[in-house]
Amino acid sequence: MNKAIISVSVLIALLLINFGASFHRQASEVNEEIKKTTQENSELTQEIKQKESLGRSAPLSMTRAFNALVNQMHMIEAYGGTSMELSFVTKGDKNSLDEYFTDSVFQNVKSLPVVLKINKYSDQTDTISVLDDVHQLESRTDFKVREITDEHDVLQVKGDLYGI
Amino acid sequence: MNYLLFNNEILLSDGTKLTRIQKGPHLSHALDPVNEAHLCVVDVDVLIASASENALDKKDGILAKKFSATYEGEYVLQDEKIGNNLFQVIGIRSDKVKEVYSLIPSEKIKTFVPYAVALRRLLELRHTEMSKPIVFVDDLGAQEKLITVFEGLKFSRTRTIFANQAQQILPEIKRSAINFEKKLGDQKDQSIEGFTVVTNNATLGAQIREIENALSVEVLDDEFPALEGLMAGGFNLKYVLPEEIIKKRKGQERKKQTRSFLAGGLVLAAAMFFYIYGQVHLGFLKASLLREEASHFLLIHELNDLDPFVYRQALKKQKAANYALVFLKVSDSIPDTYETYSFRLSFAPQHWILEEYLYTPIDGLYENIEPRGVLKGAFIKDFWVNNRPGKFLRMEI
Repeated sequence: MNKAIISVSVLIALLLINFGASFHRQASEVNEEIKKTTQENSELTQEIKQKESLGRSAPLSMTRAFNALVNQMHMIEAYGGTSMELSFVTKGDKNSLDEYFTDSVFQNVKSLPVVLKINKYSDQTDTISVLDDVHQLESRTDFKVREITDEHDVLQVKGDLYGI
Repeated sequence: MNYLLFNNEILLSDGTKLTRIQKGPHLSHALDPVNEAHLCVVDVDVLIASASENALDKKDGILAKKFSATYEGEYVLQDEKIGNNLFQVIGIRSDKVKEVYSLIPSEKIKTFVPYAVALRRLLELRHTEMSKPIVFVDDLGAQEKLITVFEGLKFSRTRTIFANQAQQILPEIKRSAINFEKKLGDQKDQSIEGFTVVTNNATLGAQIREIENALSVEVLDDEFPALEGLMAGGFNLKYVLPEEIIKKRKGQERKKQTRSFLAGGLVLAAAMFFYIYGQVHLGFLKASLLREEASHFLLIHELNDLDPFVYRQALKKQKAANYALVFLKVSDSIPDTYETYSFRLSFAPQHWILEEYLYTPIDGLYENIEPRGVLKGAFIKDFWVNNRPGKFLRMEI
């Protein structure tokens, strides 16, 4: 009788401990998830704070941003004497401009990867003034340069145009 | 503490004062004041029997069987070892034991032994020579004499006689000795003939000496030797009713069960606590995770809403560095003997990196480029460029 009481108690206790241990294991996993999410939330809060400190401005549609880029290119070509050729980075045939858009690092903002080729520039326009023109173009539009290479007097600018 | 001798009457002593209690209807009332009782009973039957000591579980059964073959009726038995595989079985009638327990509650009875055992304890205490047979004549007063024969540890049934004269008592002593010798048969260690008479009555002792000079007589100065023996204590025997044993066993069983229930309950409680704590803790953590996830969702949502209004400002900030100006300064820092073969400006997550290949178009002019000024921290190494000696330069802007 006594042995039966102890045995049954121990059996039930073992079952309870087994379930309890399973809860503890789950708790440990959930705890890890909480830590991870808390860390991510902290980073997001920091990012939001930083972005809020930048000040707000109305977004530009991609079409307007593209038009602004083209206009600025023409202006620089006219006044700076730099000849620029714009092309899109593409794979396969595209039917419209929208199809060139990709997701950008900014949420709900698209990016359009483009390449500017400055084939030959005159003797008067040296590399530095061309780079300055590119920087001017970048400063006045929503175009962001990623890479500038110069090989055999061919200057190539790779960058992204941002818009919604 | 109280010491009692159960015979035709009951002798009750509290260690100092003796009371004689007659058996009758008011007996239980008379024994009411008794608290801790050490008692002996005169009316016992004795049997010397052999049984194997190796089979302890069977020993009791064998001895009981042998005893019941000799004595009829219900007895409560106790035995003591008196030799190799030899036991002295002492039985007290069940009704006698019941009578004692009906008068004194079992929890008050600390010692319950045969009269002869209490007497033997006194003889040990008084260092009486036990190697020789002894016939003990206990004068209880009022003409009542108890005669018990001892031979080592063995003892006879106690006989009660009512006589005062040595002439009457002496034949009874001899008869008791002879009867005991006969009863022992071949189990006796020595002849009873050379026995010693031990008595607590000095007059009787002297009279016996006068009648039979050859007889060794010893007188003890104890008025109630059995009660004195009880006071000395140290008994291994105790008579308990089977019902009492069953009751005690049941009590022990109940205690064991209670302990088992308690132990089981404690184990269960601990396990239950572990289980409930785990479940509650997990519940709290899940709720906490849910809060964090909701917060995460809201933050993402807020960021999604915010990004379209701040991306232009963020871009502006990233575009602050004027690489054209830096390139100019770098070009000014490089000796005129070098010409740029190619360069690459790339934007890493936080800053611009300039990589430039320089070569010397004129033979014999291969100057060293010192990493100072704007070139401080730049990585510069010799390089073969455009089939000419040159330099590779890498720096962060």
